[in-house]
Amino acid sequence: MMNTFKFARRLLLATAFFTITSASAFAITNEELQEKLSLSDYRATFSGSDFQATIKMVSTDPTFTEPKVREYTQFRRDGNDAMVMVTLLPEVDKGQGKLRIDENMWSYDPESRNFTHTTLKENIEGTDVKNNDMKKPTIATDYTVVGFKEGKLGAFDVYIIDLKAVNEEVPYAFQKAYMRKDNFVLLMIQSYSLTDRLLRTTYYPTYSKIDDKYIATTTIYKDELVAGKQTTVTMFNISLAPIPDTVFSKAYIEKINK
Amino acid sequence: MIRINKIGQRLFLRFPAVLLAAAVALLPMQLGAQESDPFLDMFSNPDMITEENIEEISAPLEENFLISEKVTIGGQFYFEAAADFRKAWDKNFSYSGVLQLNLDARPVESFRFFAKAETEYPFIDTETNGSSDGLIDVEEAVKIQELYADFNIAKAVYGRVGKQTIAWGVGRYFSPADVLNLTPIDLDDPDAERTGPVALKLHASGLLSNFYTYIISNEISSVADIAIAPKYETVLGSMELGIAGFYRYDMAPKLIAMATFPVGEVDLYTELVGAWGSDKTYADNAGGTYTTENSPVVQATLGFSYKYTDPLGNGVFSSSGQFWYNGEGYADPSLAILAENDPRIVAKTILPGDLENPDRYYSALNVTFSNILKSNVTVAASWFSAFGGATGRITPSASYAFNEDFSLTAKVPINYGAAGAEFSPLGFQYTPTLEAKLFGNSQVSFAVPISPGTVYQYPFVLSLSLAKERF
Repeated sequence: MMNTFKFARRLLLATAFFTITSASAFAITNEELQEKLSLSDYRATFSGSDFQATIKMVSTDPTFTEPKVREYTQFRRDGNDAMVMVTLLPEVDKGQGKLRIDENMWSYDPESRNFTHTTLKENIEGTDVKNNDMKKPTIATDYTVVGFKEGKLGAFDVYIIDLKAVNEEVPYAFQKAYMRKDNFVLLMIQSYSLTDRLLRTTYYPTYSKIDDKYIATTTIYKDELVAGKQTTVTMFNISLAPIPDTVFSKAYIEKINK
Repeated sequence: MIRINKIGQRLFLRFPAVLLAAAVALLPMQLGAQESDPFLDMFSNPDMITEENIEEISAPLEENFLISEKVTIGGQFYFEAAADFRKAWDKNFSYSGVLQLNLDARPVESFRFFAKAETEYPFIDTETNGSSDGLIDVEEAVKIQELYADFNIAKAVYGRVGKQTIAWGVGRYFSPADVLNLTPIDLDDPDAERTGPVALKLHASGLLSNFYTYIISNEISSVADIAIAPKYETVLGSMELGIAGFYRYDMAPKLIAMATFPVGEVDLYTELVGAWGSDKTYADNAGGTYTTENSPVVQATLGFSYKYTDPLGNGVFSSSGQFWYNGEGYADPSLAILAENDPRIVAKTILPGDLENPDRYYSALNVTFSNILKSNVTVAASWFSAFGGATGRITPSASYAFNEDFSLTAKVPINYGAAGAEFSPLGFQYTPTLEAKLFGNSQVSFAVPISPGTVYQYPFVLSLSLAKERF
């Protein structure tokens, strides 16, 4: 009986020692995770070149009779925080464009021939994707790390990072980011309301690596309030070739329209 | 101390059981998300990152939206029919069909041709058939909406020449700044296209600033009648500010300022117009006319739009509104209520355009609450008013969407004001209406217009509109 007691005590002490030493050796702090979020933003921002891609959005909704497909060409000049989106599908909207510079976004109405300001918080028509999702990522400047834990997501060891918004411009008050421990790539973000209700989950299951940049080539936005409502965004035809300055202008948006 | 030792001793003795219990308790915390979310299977593939060749993706692109090998043809068609049982039995049915076609050719990057024409039936050749009897004269059956060519000069100045709709003001329901387009904004469909003039537009566009010059030569035969309208717009923070002017030899010159900007969650816009005189001819109360010259005439408008989407999905609230002080209006708008046979109308000393917007104070308000408590119910109300003439229209409505293609709406437009006034041509009237949206923009409606003091045997209007969709 006494031997059993001693053995158990030693085992407990050894476990405690191992836990403490391993924790201190591999511990990461909130500040370091904030830096990793900055790294994530940096990796998805193309400041040194222009960025162009074709973006396909497939949306399902219980009220839809069939999935809705929208396709765009996206032009980005992250150095000026400028973006243009030109509709490719549906055919009836082909050529319609949106221009965003900083927080100013204009959409062009082909009927009235007028530009109107749109807020970045609004969803892209018929999808679960917000205009805000299409700008260069700024998760590190929009949110601060308030805590984290370690976990596993599929095949990957992850940090599960609790984030709190630092400004009112972002659509979600709190987020939970799942970041791979080995390369700090974001896999999943859960977005919460002020009352801590899960509103949306965003999955990033595939990435393309371009030099030191990582761009999510598949993103799934799942509405957590309406079962079966989601939008899958795939990105292809990626190019870093220079885009003419004239593209980032109202004149271009007006001219390409039907 | 003894007590602690005893508890600890018991725990040590049961250590394997405690460990197992802890593991069982903690396991769901680790795997909970994975078990409840089938999406997480996506993360079972460790090769989720594909390395791209930077040389390949840095090659120049061939995609160009400014060039097309094909000439694109598009348009829209809609058909409307109405049976108004209040009218005489032999004249209680009307119908019309409108076909709009547009043609877009972009042979080279620096040149584009665009045409949009509209034809409407039923029409009749009045020269051979005499009175049109409400039908459209064949000469007016085809209208050119837009007909222009785009070009650019050294990829720095973009030009458009021909008949074109012009983007000028920022007001949604009223736009006093828009002195260029020929038709006013349709209050019931503010996004509807408008008819523009024949003009040459030159547009120099930067990242945050734009400079436009319009040289307008609509239906003129003398160089002296050419008008010029420059506009400069720029972005200051989150405000877009525009300054413009309008000059034509025989018309009142105008200076215009406009801005759009957010305040918190609300988007605001404003227009301010100062003119030296007015181009309108006014009716006086003695059966004559007068004009306003050599004195300043000011117009100002302020509008807003706001949208709130409940984060828990319990509804979407949206609202927009606008107030317009129209310095060109009558102090007494009833002076603008003229009979069709008024000598000033017959002699054309007062034209229809002179009688548009006769009031000095206008307002518009739209409120919509949709997806109420996650249902497919929408309630809405709109109110358009001209305060000086005490006339307006209030339309409360409620609708239920069964699916994307079928919804039912019940509404009661209420027109108030004196007979002949802007929003109440028939005086006070309310019209309970039931509408069924069938597919696209097609709908059937059944309305019962009710005017106190007027009795009809069959006070019903049944109308149908079909497939008003672009292709």
